[in-house]
Amino acid sequence: MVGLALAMLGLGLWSLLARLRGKLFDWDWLHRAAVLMGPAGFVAVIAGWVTTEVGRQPFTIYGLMRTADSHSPLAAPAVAASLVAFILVYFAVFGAGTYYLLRLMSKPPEPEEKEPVRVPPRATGVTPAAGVTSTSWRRSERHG
Amino acid sequence: MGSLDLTLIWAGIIGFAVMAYVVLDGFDLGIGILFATLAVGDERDRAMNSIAPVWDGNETWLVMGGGGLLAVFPLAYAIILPATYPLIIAMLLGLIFRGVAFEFRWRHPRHRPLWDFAFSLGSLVAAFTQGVTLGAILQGIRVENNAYAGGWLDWLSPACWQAWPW
Repeated sequence: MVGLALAMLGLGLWSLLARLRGKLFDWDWLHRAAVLMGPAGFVAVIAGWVTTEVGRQPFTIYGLMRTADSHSPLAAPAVAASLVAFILVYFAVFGAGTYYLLRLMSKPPEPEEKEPVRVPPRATGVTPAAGVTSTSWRRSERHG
Repeated sequence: MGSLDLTLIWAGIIGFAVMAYVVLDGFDLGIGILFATLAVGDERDRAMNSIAPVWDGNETWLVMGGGGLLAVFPLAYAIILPATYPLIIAMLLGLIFRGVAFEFRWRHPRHRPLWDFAFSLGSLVAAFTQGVTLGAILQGIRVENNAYAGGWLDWLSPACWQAWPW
């Protein structure tokens, strides 16, 4: 996980270097590395998760202690209910996310596509919602 | 209490993290709760975008509070979390719905009322369960042999209700 984090940082620095040199869009090896690093985030998350689980209950994992002696003092119905709740919520949220992704991908680019409205630089997380609600953004741009 | 040892310093750090969380996320949970009363359209979009760049940073203080408790006071962590388990789970589920609403509400005009509702309800559930958790901790937690000794619904006792503001 730490190695992957360093690799991600390295890729970021590499692309910064490429941008400074003005060849961000035509440095083939950078592009290959970026594609290769695509799943790195997922792998890092899973690696970190395994490390946490093994690290926080090593005596159980390595057979020195029984699971019955190491579990939290939680009633089975509480654990079952939370598991079911998480499964339902994850299916709902991931289902919706997958649907929106597929919907986005099924729309081919139009040849006469309009230039996107230029919005002033903003922090991450603020979504101007392309094509859904841009009136307020256009207005604020004109005033700002 | 004369010397300033690591225990005290860490208690201060965790206390600060939780306080910072209450103040900062209180602001954007409050917007989430009021969201249901705002006019559909421009007003809601503005309310959402006013917290979109900061809400996740604000919530990270809670991760620091919880993570600090796990790392520095594992015994307290192992007692408090089982005692408030259903509350913490409900809070996390509320935060999940509230968090995805920031992105999903823009993706489909017909689904937007649904995600707006999820945003508001998620914020309400998160704030509500945090209040009940505070009540449960103030009421006291049954501990025997350094472990939580109560049931999973102990927090439902009437004393917890006293921490509610009404």
